[in-house]
Amino acid sequence: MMSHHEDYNDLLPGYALDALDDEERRRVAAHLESCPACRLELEELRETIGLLAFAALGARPPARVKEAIFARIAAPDPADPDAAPPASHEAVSAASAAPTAGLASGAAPVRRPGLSVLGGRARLALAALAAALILGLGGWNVALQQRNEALAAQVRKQGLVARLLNDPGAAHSLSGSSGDPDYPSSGPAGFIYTDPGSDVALMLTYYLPQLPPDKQYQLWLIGPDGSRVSGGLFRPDANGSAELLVRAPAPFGNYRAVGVTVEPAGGSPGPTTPRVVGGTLQ
Amino acid sequence: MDWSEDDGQLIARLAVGDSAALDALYERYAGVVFGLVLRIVAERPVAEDLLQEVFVRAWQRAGSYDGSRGRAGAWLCGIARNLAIDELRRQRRRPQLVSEHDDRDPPREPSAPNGREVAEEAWINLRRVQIETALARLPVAQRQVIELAYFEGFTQSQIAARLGEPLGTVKTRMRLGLRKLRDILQGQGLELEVD
Repeated sequence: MMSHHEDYNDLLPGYALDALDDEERRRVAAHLESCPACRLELEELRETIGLLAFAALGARPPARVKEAIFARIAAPDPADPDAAPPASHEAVSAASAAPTAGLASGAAPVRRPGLSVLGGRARLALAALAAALILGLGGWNVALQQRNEALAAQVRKQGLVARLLNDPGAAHSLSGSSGDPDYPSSGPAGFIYTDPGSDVALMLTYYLPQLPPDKQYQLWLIGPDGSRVSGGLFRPDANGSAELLVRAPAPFGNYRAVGVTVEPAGGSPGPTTPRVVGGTLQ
Repeated sequence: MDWSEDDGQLIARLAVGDSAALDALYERYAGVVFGLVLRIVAERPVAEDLLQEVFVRAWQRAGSYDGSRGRAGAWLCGIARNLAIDELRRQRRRPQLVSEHDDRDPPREPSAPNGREVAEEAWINLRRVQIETALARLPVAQRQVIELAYFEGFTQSQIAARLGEPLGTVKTRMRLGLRKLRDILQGQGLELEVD
């Protein structure tokens, strides 16, 4: 019979995933009543689990689902007394399905306590990046290697990044080696989004080691014959991440793979060190 | 398009009965919620019903949403996952009724997305990349037990039976894997805190 906090604490992941048997679940639930530390950890675990949903490939539902939702909330079923929200019915917007563009513009983002898992400013930064790339707006605060006007104009004209980000076939995973046999994939990693017919791509990389000031990372575009041309120079942020908008000399259909190496600041004509992270484009 | 309004504000507006906020939340999360329930129940008509139920419940329960207990996306997906797993477990109890529809892996809806949908989906896809990257960093055996519990609704005992592993091993993998995943995602979250 369990009696120690540690024993219950070890059951929390299974409890959070709703994967315990009934008897264990009841015991953990009883312990949670009296243990703020376990309640706090449970909340963290549940937030992590909530994010697992994003691993499922998104799917666009048919419009009839949304219509059904708004029909239900607009005309609550008399047999379903909970179908209306609990408060302030006067506040219901007259046009229930009105477009929301422009609502609350300029409102300051609310910072809530809790985990920073892909939330808060991170979410806004990614949203801003996506919006900026899609709409051709300036002003995003994610470090892009080349944010010159010509490239922005090209991206805007082609609507390309939006297409890349929404085409599952456009994403190619990049990996490095950590040298840790327990976690073979815990080294540098990332994705590059390409279209064979376009010379613009978006690359996201993570877990890159920091570099001294006289070094930079250099992206190489590898041709079918093994030739390498530079795809640009970059530095990761303080946490080892980088988002890079890449412009190649030729459409990406001309390259079979990409690789990243450490080079002297300013770049090299060809790679001079082993690949840190890379992957094929097929 | 307004990217400045975060999920917490939308839920707050939902709680006072602002249906435009429900619209915005739907545009932001319907794709990921639908993808999730479709992956769990595998049948498109069932998934559509569940999707509808998730957002109606969000509308009903927004007043009890506590922002400190997880972000809105995770909250919505939690509702969705619970409903879908309940449905899956119901189906397993009466297996003769399963698979009346053969809707696995249906093609994507051909309708052209509008600009806002494209932007929302782009963000969702970026987020999926983050989660997949994190999952890829888990040892395979740990990832497997987490996915069997989360997407398939199996208990630890059921997973142990399916894998032919001792229950204690499954418990350990789930504990280590989920805590490691939390740590990785927290690390990624910090990485993505761009100034």
